Amino acid sequence: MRRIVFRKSSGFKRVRPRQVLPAFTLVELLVVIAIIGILISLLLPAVQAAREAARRMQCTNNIKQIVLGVHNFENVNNAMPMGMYSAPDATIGGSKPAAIDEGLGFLAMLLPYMEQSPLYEQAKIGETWKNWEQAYKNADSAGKLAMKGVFSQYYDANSTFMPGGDTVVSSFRCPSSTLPDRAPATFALHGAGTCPVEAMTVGYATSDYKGCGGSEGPEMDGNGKDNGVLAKNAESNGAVRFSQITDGLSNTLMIGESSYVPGGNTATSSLGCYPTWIGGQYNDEQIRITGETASVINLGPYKKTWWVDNGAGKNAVNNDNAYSEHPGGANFGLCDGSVRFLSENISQSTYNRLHGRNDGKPLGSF
Amino acid sequence: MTKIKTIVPLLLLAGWLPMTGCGDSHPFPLAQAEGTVLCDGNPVAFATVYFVPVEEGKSAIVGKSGQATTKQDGTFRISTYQPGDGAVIARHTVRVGTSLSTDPSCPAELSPMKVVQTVDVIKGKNLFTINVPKRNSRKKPVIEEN
Repeated sequence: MRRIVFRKSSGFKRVRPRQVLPAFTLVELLVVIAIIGILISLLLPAVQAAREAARRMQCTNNIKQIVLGVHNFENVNNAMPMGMYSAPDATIGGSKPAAIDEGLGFLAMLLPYMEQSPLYEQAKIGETWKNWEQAYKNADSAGKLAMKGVFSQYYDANSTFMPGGDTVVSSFRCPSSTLPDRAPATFALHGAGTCPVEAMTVGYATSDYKGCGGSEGPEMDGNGKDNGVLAKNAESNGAVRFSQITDGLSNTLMIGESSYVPGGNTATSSLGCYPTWIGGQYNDEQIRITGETASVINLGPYKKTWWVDNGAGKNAVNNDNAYSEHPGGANFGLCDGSVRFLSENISQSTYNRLHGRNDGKPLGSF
Repeated sequence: MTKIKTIVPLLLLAGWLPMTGCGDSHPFPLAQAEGTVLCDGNPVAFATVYFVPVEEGKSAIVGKSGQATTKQDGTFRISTYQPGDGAVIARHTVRVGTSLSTDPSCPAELSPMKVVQTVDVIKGKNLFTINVPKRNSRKKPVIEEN
């Protein structure tokens, strides 16, 4: 403490003392620290939320790019791509063709329309499909039933994945996703086993976005699964044109987020594989989602296990679900080019009807 | 001393603020929903049960669907957001999906695509008996394709 200094002013008689305080007291210091503490405590949780918001926004942008790619594709080809380029016949003489659930995916076909032409050429996407389609057309009924899918054929001949299939395309990955970049060499679903032909899918780069392949259930009054826009060939009867989307482009879903490893809906049906942009290998769940009773957004309460074990076996309660790591819902691209975040609390009637392209039923506000 | 008295509430505030925003992320109240699935009086074992909230007003945001699988004695307990948390308080349509049971006493007509019953889940404990129809013996069982 300095001494109190008295100054004399020349013209006045009165003398005023002035006190000078050059330092903070301890109490003031504590107050400042408390205020800084409050500000930081406000900021920290906000930073975490802002990071997730930023990732969600990037995911929104990815979906927007894919939807624009589909629109570019439609401009050139007068139709949308098929969800899966697989066998066109659902049944031949009462039997299912072997290649019904196996084929190139719509994301692979969109590569040239998303500035990824070199990858499209490297993987020989268009050529592979043309050759396969021609061979299928030329085959007789027995040959069509027995003919293997694109990936099985390639794997049988080369014992590896298609060249370029391991290229990670950043537009096909959601930044919040926890899937690995490529299907790992060995993997097992929780208590369920492995992919039907595990080795065949290993090495392909994963994707977090799938096509919306229609819906099924009491909300749809018997309309089958073929009323989506990006279904497999046999489901949609070939490529869908915009004129066939009679519900309107803004009332129909096109792309959905689905970054999980899907499983079949009973323990005996085909088990899951990693979703890959190049297509589905014996598994249409790798490239498309649907709207139905078992396909709630972000999976049901047992999401971390996919299966519920009741003693008799593993009962999967989910099927063809949209799934994201964003809390409370998932991002969807609609056919009109808009991208919306749908809540997991959306009613099944509205969600399923959004999947359908020609159901003609009203939607609730969502 | 007066300054210290002002600091104490400030410090309490600093401790409380980081905890704001960490409450329930879903606004839908839940209630326990349990019951038994019966077919002709026999329990339907190892089947999947779905409780789907019905959209009644203008809003399509009605709450997530609940799921459960039945035990050997046909009993089930619905979960929605977390295992064992119950069902959203609302009117639900009930669907019963495929069963892993091979019990021949009542071959039930099971499909997640068919509404078996409509129930109201109310506040408190709910106990339901879900009766599923017997399958027409002449009809071949439909294998659902996923």
